[in-house]
Amino acid sequence: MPRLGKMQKELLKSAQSKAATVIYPFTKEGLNIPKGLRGRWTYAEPEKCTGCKICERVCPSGAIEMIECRPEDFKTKTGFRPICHFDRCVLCNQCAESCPRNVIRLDAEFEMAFLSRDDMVIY
Amino acid sequence: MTSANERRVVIPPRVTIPIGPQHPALKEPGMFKLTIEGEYIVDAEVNIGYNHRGVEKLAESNSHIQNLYLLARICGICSATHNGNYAQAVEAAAEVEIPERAKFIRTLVWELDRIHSHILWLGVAFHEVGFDTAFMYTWRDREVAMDMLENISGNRVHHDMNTPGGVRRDIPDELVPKLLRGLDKLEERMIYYRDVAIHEKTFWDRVADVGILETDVAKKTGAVGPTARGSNVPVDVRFNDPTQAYYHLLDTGDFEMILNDRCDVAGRSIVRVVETIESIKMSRWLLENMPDGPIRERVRPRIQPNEVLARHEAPRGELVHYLVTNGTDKPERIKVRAPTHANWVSMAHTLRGNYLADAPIILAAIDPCYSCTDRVVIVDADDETMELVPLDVLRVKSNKWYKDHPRSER
Repeated sequence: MPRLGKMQKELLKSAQSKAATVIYPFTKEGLNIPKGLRGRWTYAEPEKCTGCKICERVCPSGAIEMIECRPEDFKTKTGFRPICHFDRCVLCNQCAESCPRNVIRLDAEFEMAFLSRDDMVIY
Repeated sequence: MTSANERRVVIPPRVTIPIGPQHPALKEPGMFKLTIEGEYIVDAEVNIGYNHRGVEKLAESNSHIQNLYLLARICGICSATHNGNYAQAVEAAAEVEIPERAKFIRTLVWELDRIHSHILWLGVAFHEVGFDTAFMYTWRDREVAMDMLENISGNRVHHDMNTPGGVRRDIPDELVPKLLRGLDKLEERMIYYRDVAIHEKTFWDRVADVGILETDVAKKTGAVGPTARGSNVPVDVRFNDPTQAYYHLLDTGDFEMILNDRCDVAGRSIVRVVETIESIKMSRWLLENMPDGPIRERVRPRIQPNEVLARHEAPRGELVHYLVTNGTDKPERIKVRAPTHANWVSMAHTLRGNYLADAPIILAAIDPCYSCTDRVVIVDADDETMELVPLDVLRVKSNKWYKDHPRSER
């Protein structure tokens, strides 16, 4: 009988073990999302924001734009608030890190598919 | 039907086969003109330049912090090395010493990056020789390293761990046992893959004595990284010119440079696989001996005029960042010499004399990263002028040189 190769034993072993992948869109079990995942951009605590524009200045991809506060927004000190053009965002977390008041956060949400560019502007 | 009454000697015609810029065998755009006689490659010409993105020029208009993220995106697989090496360059220009713990974390991320990059390469090598089972298995186990990096940094591919003056995230104590468990599993699997690579004939028969790069040719053409170490050239920046926590690693004396004297694709494979096991041991040592303390030092955004050449051993070889600062928060000039750029030169030599069917694995053996390369600068040593040369001008110049220096005279 020919000698078994290095792989065959492993193959037989793997045939019995459970699948290494997850049927993702149907189940999210086993995805193991880590706690500190850099996901969707969030303007988490608007009431702390001063509108200092640091986030806009440090953004490496020009994703953050400062707009004048709309009537429904919390009125910041300078009258400006950040919005994120998420199509340009590279998820580097620098805005959250540079923010002196921890207003901005990257959430653990990772499902970030959109049907149009307009949906990708995060207020 | 013709009858063969008389014997004739048929000389196969020379045919030039272009592979690329877009080709199923290539994952990224690059062009290889292979001149073949029958099945043998008699000449090879490597054309690159299809992936130029103007990163260096763009970097001159960005601040140093923004450049960290831009340069990390030069390459997806070795993003930690570009990111960390640029941070290292900026710190050297600002003349700042970073805390010990930051050095350890930075080195740990570099080593984990090397582990996942080498496993990725091993999978690609298995795939190129048509051994797809092992390709799937290696990539499954690569996920362990990717998950560890994700746990540390918050992103699977672009870790972006570094900042001028240290690292951005600490490794919490409760994560350490989890990482150590992951390393144990990886080590067990890598020892198994080392045996697969050496003892499994499906792989070994395709890589042994293929793509020979002799030691003197490797030295002459300036090969770096596992390509050079597979030809028994002892170049490894971690050992020759250590930075960050590599000092402490070398002081223990437990780690050594992996060399192989086979000089073929098999030699390069063995170097990579054994180096992965060595990297796992290094990572474990770093985790177990990590000092306490702060993780970052404040660096002012404006950096005094300085000139820095930062070197780091990326998974593919020596990575060089040359940075000139000018007193503002933006660099005056940043030049990236990625390892693949140094390895292209030896490529044509390794292809010659092999079968056409071996071309994909020989191309893959230097672990090419097309996005990293694509730049030429000519520096005149006599009058110290610098000139950026586009490809067509370079071609005209080289043609002129060959006209003046015919091969027969040399």
